[in-house]
Amino acid sequence: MIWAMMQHLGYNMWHDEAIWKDKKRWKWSNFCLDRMLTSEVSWNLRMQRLMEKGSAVNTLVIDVGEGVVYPSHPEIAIKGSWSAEKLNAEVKRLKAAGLAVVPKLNFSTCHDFWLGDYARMISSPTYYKVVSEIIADTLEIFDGPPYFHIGMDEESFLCSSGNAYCVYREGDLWWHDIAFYAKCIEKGNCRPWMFSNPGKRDKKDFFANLPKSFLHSPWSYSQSFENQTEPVDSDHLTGNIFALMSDMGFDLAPCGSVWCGGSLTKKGMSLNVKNYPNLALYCKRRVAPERLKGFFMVPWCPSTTGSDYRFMAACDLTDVARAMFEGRDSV
Amino acid sequence: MINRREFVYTMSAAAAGGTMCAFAGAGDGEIAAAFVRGADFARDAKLLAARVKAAGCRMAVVDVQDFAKYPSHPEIATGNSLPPGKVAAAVAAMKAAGVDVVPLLDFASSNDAWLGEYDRMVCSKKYEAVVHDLIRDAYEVFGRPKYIHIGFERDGRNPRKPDDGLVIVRQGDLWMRNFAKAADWVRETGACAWAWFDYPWGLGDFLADCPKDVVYTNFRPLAEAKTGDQFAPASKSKVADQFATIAKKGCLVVPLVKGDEEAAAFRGRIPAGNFLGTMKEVAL
Repeated sequence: MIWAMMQHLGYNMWHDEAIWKDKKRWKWSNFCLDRMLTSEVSWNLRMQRLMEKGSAVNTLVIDVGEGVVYPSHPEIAIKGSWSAEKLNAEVKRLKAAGLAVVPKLNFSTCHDFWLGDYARMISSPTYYKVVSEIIADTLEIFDGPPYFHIGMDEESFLCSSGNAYCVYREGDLWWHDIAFYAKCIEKGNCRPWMFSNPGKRDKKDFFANLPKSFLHSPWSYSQSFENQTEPVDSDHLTGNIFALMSDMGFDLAPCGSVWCGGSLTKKGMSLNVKNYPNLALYCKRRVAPERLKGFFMVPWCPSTTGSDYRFMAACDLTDVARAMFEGRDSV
Repeated sequence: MINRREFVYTMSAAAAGGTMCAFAGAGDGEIAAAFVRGADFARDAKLLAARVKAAGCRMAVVDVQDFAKYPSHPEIATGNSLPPGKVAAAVAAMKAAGVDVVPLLDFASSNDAWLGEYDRMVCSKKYEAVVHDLIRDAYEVFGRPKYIHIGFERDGRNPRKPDDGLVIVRQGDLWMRNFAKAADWVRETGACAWAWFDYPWGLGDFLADCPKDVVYTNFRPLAEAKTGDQFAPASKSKVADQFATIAKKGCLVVPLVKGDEEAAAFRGRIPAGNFLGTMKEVAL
């Protein structure tokens, strides 16, 4: 059973350019960085936590983005991006400590600003060439990982409308490109993994086309999954989507978070402590055991010391969720 | 998928002191009709010139798209694209018949399928280089015209669903920056940029940043302005209001009209120095 944790190496996944230079007029700001945000101190602290004896997390999903100098496309890197050798050495170290290490490159057009100029070449011949080459690089850097997460969340007008350059795929092109990513990944004897929320897409069409060869992570940050019978028409799913997808024969690693769903305080959003344990318990009851391959915690925070508390809370909640799932009284 | 409602836009000679223009092409903005427009232009250059003249005009705006083989980017060409020499010959035939030709290269992200793979690279560095090259090519192939039309209609906040599944929308400052760059590149050739006026974010923002030496033409005639249309002002009077406003702020305008009544509606409200004439649609 997978108990996965996401950790950002790159962080250029949001808002490369605001619609207006006058930021006060728009909710989004320019976000993309020209130097790495990831702190080595923070990274090492977090990895130490994951490698602690008794930690529930057994799989680390590294959201790589612009965080590494891809041998085939060094132009994607920014100042401070890790060398391929450095990341490979870190992968080896973590694997030696017993963790499965999985790469994540988010190819959703809402979260692919890490691709630099290529994020403005979606579905062009150049794009396909670059993507195939950096996937091959990544498979090699990660020493043949068991899974490869391709993101694909929030690709819609609704989610991209805050960007000056708003781009998204629909219909056959969307499915063509998902099949393309899968083909590149499967060349490395690796299983594709993706976020699987239909969002505004037609659900019947979405689930009819969604490949069963993938591991799927529908995500919901709800604090409770009881009394939720129908998926709402938004990116946030209600509980029964997990049972629905299980019944349809999809392999699942349901995704939860400490982010979003807590109460808003003067210091910001408080931690969402109810989501993950309740998600685990709900899925234990409602998802067929043969379809439930694990769980995926996404704390959504940069690798900075200021965000370490959130990552640590995500680890603690994974400990709690796993203990509850396994019927243990204590962590 | 392909809507080949063929038409010719012509500028009425009745526009006092105005430039007389015509738009020759086929389709109502459907990107797949692009090639047909070009081939028809080349094949029927003399007929087109006769029609334009019969309508009292002496300028045709030709929707070039991929019917021409661009010297700098031959990879855009299709099997039926005409070499520059044949395009130049058609332009010369039009000129000989008394009709000046203005090339229209539509760089609207919703109408640029003619760019081939570059229509999926909008706003990238490569795309900008290609646009720059094509504008220079058009200037030379079309015999150094006085104007080059750069399109830019239906390229705003509310996306039109394309047939190929990829939606690209430029917004706000990015839209204006791209538009101004294209206008700069036209200016660099020695020609004057001409564009559809179809800006969805309000006149205040438009006037704050728009180049004033570009010729602006409304994307739809007043008679076709639809209430609730995402890409056109909601009412006929608003079209005229907008044109009067941008002209009074220094923009050059050539309203697209249907008939003398509409022409008069504009003419009476726009300062003479900024009113270069009117454009109208004439079926081939």
